[in-house]
Amino acid sequence: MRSQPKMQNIVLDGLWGNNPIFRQILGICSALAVTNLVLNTMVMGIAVIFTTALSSLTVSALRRWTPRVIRMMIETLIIAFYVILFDQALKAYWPDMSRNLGPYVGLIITNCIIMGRAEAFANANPPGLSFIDGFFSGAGYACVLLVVSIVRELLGMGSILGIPMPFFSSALWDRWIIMVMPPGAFFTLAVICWIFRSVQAAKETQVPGGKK
Amino acid sequence: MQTEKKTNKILLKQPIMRRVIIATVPCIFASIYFFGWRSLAVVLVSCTLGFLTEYVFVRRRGEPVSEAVFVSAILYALIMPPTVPWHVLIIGIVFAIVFAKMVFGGFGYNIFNPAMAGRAFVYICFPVALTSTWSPPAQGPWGALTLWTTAVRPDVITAATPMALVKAGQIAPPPVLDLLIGRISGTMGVTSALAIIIGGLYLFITRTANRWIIITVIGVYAILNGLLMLLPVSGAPSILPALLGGGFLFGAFFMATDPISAPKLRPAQIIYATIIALSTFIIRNFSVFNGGLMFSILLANMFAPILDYGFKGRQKKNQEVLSSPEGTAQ
Amino acid sequence: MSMREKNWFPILYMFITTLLLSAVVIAFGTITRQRVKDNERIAFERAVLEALPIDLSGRTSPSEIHITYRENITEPTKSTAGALGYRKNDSLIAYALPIDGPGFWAPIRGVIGIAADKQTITGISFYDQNETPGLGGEIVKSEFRDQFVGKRLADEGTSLEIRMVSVELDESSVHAITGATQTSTRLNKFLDKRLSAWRDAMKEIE
Repeated sequence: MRSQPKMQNIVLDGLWGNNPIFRQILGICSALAVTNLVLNTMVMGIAVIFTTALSSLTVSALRRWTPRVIRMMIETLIIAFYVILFDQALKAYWPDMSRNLGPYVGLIITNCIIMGRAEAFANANPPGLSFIDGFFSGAGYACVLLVVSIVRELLGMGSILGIPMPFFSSALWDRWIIMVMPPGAFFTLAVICWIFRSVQAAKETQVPGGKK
Repeated sequence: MQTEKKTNKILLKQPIMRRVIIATVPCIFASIYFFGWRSLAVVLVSCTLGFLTEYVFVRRRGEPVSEAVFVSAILYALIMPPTVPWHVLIIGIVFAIVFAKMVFGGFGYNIFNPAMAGRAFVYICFPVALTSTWSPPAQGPWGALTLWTTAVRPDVITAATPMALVKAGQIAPPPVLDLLIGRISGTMGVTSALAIIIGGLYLFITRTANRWIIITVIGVYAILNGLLMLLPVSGAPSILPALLGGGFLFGAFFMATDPISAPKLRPAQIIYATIIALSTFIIRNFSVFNGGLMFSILLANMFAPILDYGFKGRQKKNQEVLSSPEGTAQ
Repeated sequence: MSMREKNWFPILYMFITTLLLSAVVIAFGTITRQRVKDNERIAFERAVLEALPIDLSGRTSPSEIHITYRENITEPTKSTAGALGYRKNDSLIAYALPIDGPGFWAPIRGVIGIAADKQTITGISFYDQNETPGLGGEIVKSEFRDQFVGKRLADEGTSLEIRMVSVELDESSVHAITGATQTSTRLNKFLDKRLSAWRDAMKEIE
């Protein structure tokens, strides 16, 4: 029997050590698509946290009964279930946001982070821990997206959450139009991964005999 | 081809790159003559920033800065409009060196022509600065030699790209003689076909630039435009203005021939040059964008490695077929 | 042999899970369906009111929008050539013409208001668009939309034109959004097409 992972490690792994975006480079498609405005990104982040946490919980709760041969179909079904619920709720109660995010909420179904957590963690761990793991993996994803979107909205539109920022919204700042377009996300995401990984590499060399 | 690597050196000497720099001198002079001394400052700022950016990266590895960085920086500066704001210039050159060159591994490893990538970035990022302000060329025998810039009053120079206006049929294309000499508004060092040809011929004769690429790009583009003239299409430019306008020659001589981002094998080079000419032709004549050559070169850059790979494979196969009677047992 | 090892078990399991989950999704969908429909309707009604010379200040909640719309707007008739009518005391004050066409990413839908003289624009608004925020998305901002107010449809040819920022304007043209060439070009195309068609249809009715 494998020893159960510690809660603290799960949280830190999801947010930093094994961050889905800059460590595992997963879920890049939506990271590029919805990060041009901070508000859109926040909703997207919440949607992903909601889905990863609850689908991990459900997959884990059912893990003793689910036959191995069809487990991936069941996982997809569960993920799709939560995503559709979220999408429907958004359509009904926040139509403007639903229109902004367009097809990308639905595309969370194909976001590999969620399937990845279900396969790698929830299948072998109890529901409570799986929920935490899913939650913090989603949160790790959301945090990186938020950083990307802050950079993009600030440079591209001179505002954050639609609020004009000093200097960036003045005539002194020439708005970087490429930042609100999809290519802007490539550069921003690449630079952020670069910075985060360099920080991590520096940390690991500091601790002699540290893990990895 | 780095033959020597000395860690204490700051600059790597590259005779080929030195010759390209010499070849750009007529263009730099033309841009000073037509648009004022600010042009020289633009070139110098671009070079300084380009050098510093590369230095930051290579210092850690203890390598010298390649002379090629000056080529990229000068070429990049020459395809900026004379009124280019300083921050646009700086962002572009830093982007060009960091993202188009250093992240791929530095000199010799870049997929894209850095000058073109930098220009494409700022072109999309700051469309207003790059496409809607143009200063008129100076008139008179002394040109702008006594001026800092010909853009005296910013409000009088705001106009669409000359090429865009020609395309929209709002103004007639400038006369061929003006195109040849370069007394037209446009990007800094690229308006004067004469200066480009002087520099280009130097590259051509000294075999610094690949002759096959130059001939194919110009030839195919001329033929395609000739064919378009034969068709009953209204507004098709004739061959000579098409060749002389919009910095086409500059791209053909200086950009397409970049030894790093172009393929190495001759058949690959010819296909590469054809792709450039063909897509420039398509973009310039049939799309909404004016930066046809820029996008074409970047597009063709992407195909360069696979073209080389494909032809290398074929060469190998041919050799294997030839050597198979001898039989190499494995 | 336990039930779990039977070869029909996975099928049954899949069936039951699917049944349960879809039941929830369908139930939730049914509950919210009316709301989603209402949202779409309100978005349209709001756009119609915004394009017309109606002061909406303080009356922006969905129910107020709906009431104002019902009180003032009449459905299109033959005499309006597909435009909605804005009437007060039985006299027609303005037309609201729905417009739609391809944008850069997705279709753009909106409404343009034209005064009773069939020439003066009273306003334009969009209720469905997915253009790039900060670029094409700026069409919903008042900086762009306010330009239309007071412009006049040309009598012949191009009814209304969106021009590049560097080109001067006349009484039937507005400036495009810098950097959003594609959105502006496409909007220009279908806006003019729809307006010209409406203008010609109205002439015929007279």
